Amino acid sequence: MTKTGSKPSKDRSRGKIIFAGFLFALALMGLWARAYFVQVVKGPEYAKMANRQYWASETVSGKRGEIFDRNGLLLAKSISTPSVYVRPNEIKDRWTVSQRLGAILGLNPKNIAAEMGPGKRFVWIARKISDAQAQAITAETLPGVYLETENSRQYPQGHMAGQLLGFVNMDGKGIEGLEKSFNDQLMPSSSKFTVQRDAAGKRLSSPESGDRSSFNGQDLRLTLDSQVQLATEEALARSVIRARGKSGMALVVEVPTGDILAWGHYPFFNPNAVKKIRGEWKNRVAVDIFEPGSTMKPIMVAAALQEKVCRPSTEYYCENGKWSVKGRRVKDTHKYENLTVSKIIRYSSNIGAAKIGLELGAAKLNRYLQELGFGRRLGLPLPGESAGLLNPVRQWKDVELANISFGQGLGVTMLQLAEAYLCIANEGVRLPLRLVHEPGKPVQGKRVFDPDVAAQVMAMLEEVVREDGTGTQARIEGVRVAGKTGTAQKASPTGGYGGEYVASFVAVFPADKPRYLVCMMVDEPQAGHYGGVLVAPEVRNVGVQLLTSSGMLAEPVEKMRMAKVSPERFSAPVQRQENISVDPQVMPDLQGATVRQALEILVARGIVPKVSGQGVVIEKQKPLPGEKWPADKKCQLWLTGQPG
Amino acid sequence: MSGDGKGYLSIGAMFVATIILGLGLVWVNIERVDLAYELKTLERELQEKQDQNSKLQVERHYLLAPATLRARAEKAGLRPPGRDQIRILQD
Repeated sequence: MTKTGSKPSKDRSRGKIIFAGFLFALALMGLWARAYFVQVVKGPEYAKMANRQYWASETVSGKRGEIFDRNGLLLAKSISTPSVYVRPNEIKDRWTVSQRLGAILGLNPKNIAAEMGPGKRFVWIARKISDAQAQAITAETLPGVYLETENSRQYPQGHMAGQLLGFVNMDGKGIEGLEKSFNDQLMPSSSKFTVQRDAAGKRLSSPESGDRSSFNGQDLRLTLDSQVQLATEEALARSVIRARGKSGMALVVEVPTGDILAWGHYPFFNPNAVKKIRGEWKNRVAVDIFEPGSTMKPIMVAAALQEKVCRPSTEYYCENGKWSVKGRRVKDTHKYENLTVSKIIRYSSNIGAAKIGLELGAAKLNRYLQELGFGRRLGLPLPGESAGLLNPVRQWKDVELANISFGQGLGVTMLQLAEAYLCIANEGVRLPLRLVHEPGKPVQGKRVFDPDVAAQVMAMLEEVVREDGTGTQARIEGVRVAGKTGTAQKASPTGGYGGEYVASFVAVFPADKPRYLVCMMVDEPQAGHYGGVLVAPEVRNVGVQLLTSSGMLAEPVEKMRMAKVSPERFSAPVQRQENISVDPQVMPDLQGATVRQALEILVARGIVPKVSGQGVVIEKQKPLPGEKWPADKKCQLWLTGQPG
Repeated sequence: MSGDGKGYLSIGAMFVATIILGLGLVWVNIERVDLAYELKTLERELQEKQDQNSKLQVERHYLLAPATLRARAEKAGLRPPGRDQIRILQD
C-alpha cells in the first residue's frame, strides 16, 4: 500500500533550463562583447600587427655594370661573395667558436675572440670570403655565426690597366679611376617591394619584384686592347727595371681614330688587392705632370714651320754646344756649329731649338701650345685629370721662351704630349683622345698645322730614327719609324734643377702611314738618363708587336713575293705530297709539301720553323728527313715556287 | 511547390554554394601559398645559378687573359713568332 498523504515533489526543471539558458546567453554575450572588442575596438591595431607579421618590405637591387675592353674581354665584374658575421650574445662558448672560425678563415682565434667582446650585438668576422670557406662554416653549424651575401668587384685581368680602372669600396661605390668617374653609369638601381612571409618568417615570392637583372648598372666598353695593353705593360716594366727608374708610364694611341689602346703604369697596381697605404693606384698618365724635354721640340718646330719662321733646310748656328740667353746658360750634349732645322731635331740641339723659339716669339708659340691642349684639361672622363703647367704668356721672357722651346719650364701630362703628337701624325689635324669605345661615333678633328708642315715634321722625326739621330734604337727593319727622344732634368724641390731626370720616347709606326702612336716615360732612371737609350728599345718592341699583330710587319715581304710571282706559277701543277708519314721519333720528309702542310705538322710538335726563300712549296729542310726531331725546336725550311 | 518551400530551397542552395565557394577560396589560397613557396625556391636556385655563372665567367676570363695565356704558352715552350715565321694566308 502506498503512502498517499505525502507532499508532491516540486518540478525545478523549468528553472534549471531557464538558468542554463541564461548562462548560455551570458556566455554568448561575453563572446559577442569580446568579438566587438577585438574586431571593432582593437581591430585597426591588430590589423596593423598582423600586417607587420605577414608582410615585409624587401629591397631588390641589381649588380654593378661590367667593364670590357674593345674586343669584349672582361676587365671588371661584380660577383656575389659570402661574408661571415657573428651575434656574440647568441654564443655561449666564444673561444671554441673563435678557434673553429680561425682555422677556416686563417685568422688568429685570439683576435676573433677579442672582437666578440661582451655587449656587442653584431660583429663582422671576415668579409668577402671564398665559397669553400663559406661551405666549411656552414658545415660547422656554429651557434650565432651567420653568412651574408655581398657583391664583390673582381678584375680577372689582374693588374692590367689597374690604375686606369681604379677600384670600389666595400659598399661597391667607385672611389678611384674609371670606377669613380663612371660610377653613376655603372651603379645598379634598387627598388623596395612588399612581400608576404609565413609564420616562420620565410619570405614568399612576389610577382612585383620582377626581373633582378633589370636593376643592373650599365656596362662600359673601353677603347683599350688587352693584347696591346699587355705588350705595353711588359715593355714598360722591362724599361723601368733596366733603367732602375722610380716609376714609368706608357700610352698607345690608334692614330686614325684617337682611340687609346694601352694605358700603362709601372709599378703595377692590382685592384683585386688594394693596399691604401702604398698609393700605387695613382693614375699618373692623367695626373702627373712632368717637363717633357726634347719631345717638345718637334711641336715647337711645327709651329715655327706653320708660321713660316723657318724651313727644314734653314740653318742655325749652335754655338759649339754652349750659349747664354740673358745670363742663363743653354747647353747641348755635343758641340755643333751650323745645323739645319731637321738636324736640330735629329741631334736634339737645345741651342738650335731655343733660337728657333726666340725667332717664333712667345705669343705665337703660346697660341699653338694652347691649340694643342697644353695648359688645360683634355676632358677625358677621369678623376683628377691635371691641366699641366703653362705660365701665362705675359710672364714669358726670353729665358722662359728659350726653355719652353726645348721642353723645360712647362709641365705636361702624358695625355697632352700624346695628343700633340697625334696631331702631327694625323696630318696636322688634332683629334680628341678617346677612352670609351663608340664605334659609330664620327671622329671630329680640328686642323692646327697644314698637311705639308705635319709631313715635314714627320720626315724630321723619321730622320731621328733612320739617320744618325738620337732614336736609332727604335729602328725596325723594313718599316719607317718616326720618333723623338726626351731627356729632361727634373726640377728640384729646393729650386733649380737637380740630378734626377725624366727619360722618354715618342714614336709613330709606320711613319709613312701612321697607325700607332707610342709614348713611354721612365721617371728618375739611375742607370743613365737618355730616353734614346733607356726607353727607345722598348718602344721599338711595342711597335714590333703592334705591327706584327696587325699584319703590317710581314706585309712588305708578302707583297714583294706576290709581285714577283707570275700567275702561271699558281696554275702550274704542284706535286703535293698527299700523305706525309709522321714518325714520332724522326723528322718527316717535308720536301715537296706545301707550306701549310709543313706548318701543320711542325706546329703540332711545337715547332715554329724559320722560312726562307719564295714560293709555296718546301724545297729543302733542316733537320733533314730521318734525323731526330730537334730538341731545341729549331727548324729551317727553304721554299720554292716549282714542284719538288 | 509552395512559396515557402521555394524560399527554403533557395536558402539551402545559397548555403551550399557559400560553403563550396568558401572551400574553393581556401583551396586557392593554399595553392597560392604553395606556389609562392615553390617560386621562391626556384628564384633562389636561379639566383644561385646566376651567381655561379658570374663566378665561372670571371674564372673563364682570367684563364683567357692575355697574361695568363702568355705565361702558359711560355711554359709549354711557345714564344712569339719572329718576322720570318709569319705567313699571312689570303683567300
